[in-house]
Amino acid sequence: VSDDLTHEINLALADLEWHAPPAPALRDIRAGGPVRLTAEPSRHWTAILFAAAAATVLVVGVATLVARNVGSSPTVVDEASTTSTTAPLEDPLAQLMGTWTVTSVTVRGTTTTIDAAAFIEEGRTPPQVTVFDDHIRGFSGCNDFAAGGPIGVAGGVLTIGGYRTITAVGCPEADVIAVEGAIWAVLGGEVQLEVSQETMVWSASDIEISFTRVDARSLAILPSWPMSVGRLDCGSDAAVTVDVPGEGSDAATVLRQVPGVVSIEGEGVPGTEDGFVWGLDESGTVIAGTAAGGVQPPVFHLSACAPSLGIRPGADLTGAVGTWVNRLGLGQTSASVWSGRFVELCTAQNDSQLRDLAVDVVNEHLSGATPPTPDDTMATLQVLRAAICKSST
Amino acid sequence: MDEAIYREHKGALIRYATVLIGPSDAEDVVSSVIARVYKNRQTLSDLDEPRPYLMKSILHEVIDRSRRAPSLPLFDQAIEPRDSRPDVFDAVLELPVTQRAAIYLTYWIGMTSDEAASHMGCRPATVRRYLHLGRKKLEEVVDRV
Repeated sequence: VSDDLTHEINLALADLEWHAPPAPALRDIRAGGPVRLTAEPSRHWTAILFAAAAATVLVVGVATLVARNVGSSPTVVDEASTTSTTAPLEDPLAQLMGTWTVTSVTVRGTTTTIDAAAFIEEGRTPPQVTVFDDHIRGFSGCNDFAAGGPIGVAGGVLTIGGYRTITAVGCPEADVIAVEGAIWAVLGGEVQLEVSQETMVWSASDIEISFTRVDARSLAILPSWPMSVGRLDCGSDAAVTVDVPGEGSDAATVLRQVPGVVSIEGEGVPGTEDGFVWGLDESGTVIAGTAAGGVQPPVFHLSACAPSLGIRPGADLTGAVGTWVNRLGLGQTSASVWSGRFVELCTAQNDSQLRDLAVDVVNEHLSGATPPTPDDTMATLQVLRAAICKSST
Repeated sequence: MDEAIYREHKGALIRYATVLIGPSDAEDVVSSVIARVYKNRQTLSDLDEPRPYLMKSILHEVIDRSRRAPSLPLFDQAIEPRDSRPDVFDAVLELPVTQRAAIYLTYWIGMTSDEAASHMGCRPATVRRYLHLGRKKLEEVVDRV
């Protein structure tokens, strides 16, 4: 089998796998099906926009709460209360879960340092790995890789057994080649593990790879969500994604209904799913965007920043589903998933159940986005819980 | 115990189901398979090797669905490629589900044909035949440019 064929097939399989939705919760399966809080979204545009506005009030309020707390602490929950109320982690692998950026690799005594900030400034994803509960996935700076089946931590050793796979794009940069070679060499085997809250080091024979944990909030970039509205940056505000019926309409018409949009730009092929359009305000800032074409059934995935939707505090939160929260790192666009999570969030009996939910949120974070750490997610969920669960204390 | 078992395998199961039937029905397929285990065994803990058993069940569930409604496409939701060639992506979607399963398990997951066979519930020779047929179709598309 030629390398080209293998490469093209693997790219297609990676793309296909990338569309995987979150796995259903076991308790839902045993109870007879996923929990559904609300009916399907209304097909009327204004109703959807209202729902988005209501949802965004929630998000903005939460973002504000988080922002207030972030100033003095890396999380919104102080360390003491977290420690005293959270059940101890059963699996040492849990503390690795999340995304780690490569800071350096040393191979046979030669060290290559990676400047992640430089990658980000150039609009590139830095070399990184994301640890899930059953596999590791990452990006070398050039190629996507994955390994797993299973992984685990015991006695200071991280085992990444079973399989390993990587795409095969040719990469000219020496630093990327060094990272890729070092990571590829240890995937599928065992490494000595040193890990703290912020740093991680993998060591194996003559290879050492150092990582630093990615703070999802600090990235403040819109991850590559399925419709790739990469120009939308809501800064410190929240972004909301809603499904807007597209029958009898087009993307430009949908965008012009977002207050503040004064001009439309686009690229790709208008009227097809290959095109993208975005709306700009008077200053030329992108404040909303969507794919140019409809999908089946005809729906536009409209993403917009909170201020551009004219959000005001104090709105009714009824029907708040389908939020996509920029700063908080809860990358998930599915309204039904959020409906179920709101139920779980408000019915959780203790911090242990809340932590289970946090781990689910991390595990089911949309591929392509940067997952937050379980601790950050836990903190965010506690703020969300305080904001929306009326009966909780 | 069941939660731990499910947590270990659920990511692989939902991704596999997505590759076989598409994102719209993947959740339902996984739910159906797990629910059936509970109906028959009351627990996941009785499974000697959960991953092969559950992945085999997912493949059979997808095949059953395609037999029950042969006129309905397996992928009822339009999905787009991100980095791959659109013609190759479409060709992968158009493969018969058994060929797509064999190619996914061996190419992307990195299984041997023996391992893939245990996850598909067939003989290794059958896996190799699926691979040969699937590769042949995809090779034609890749070589077209």
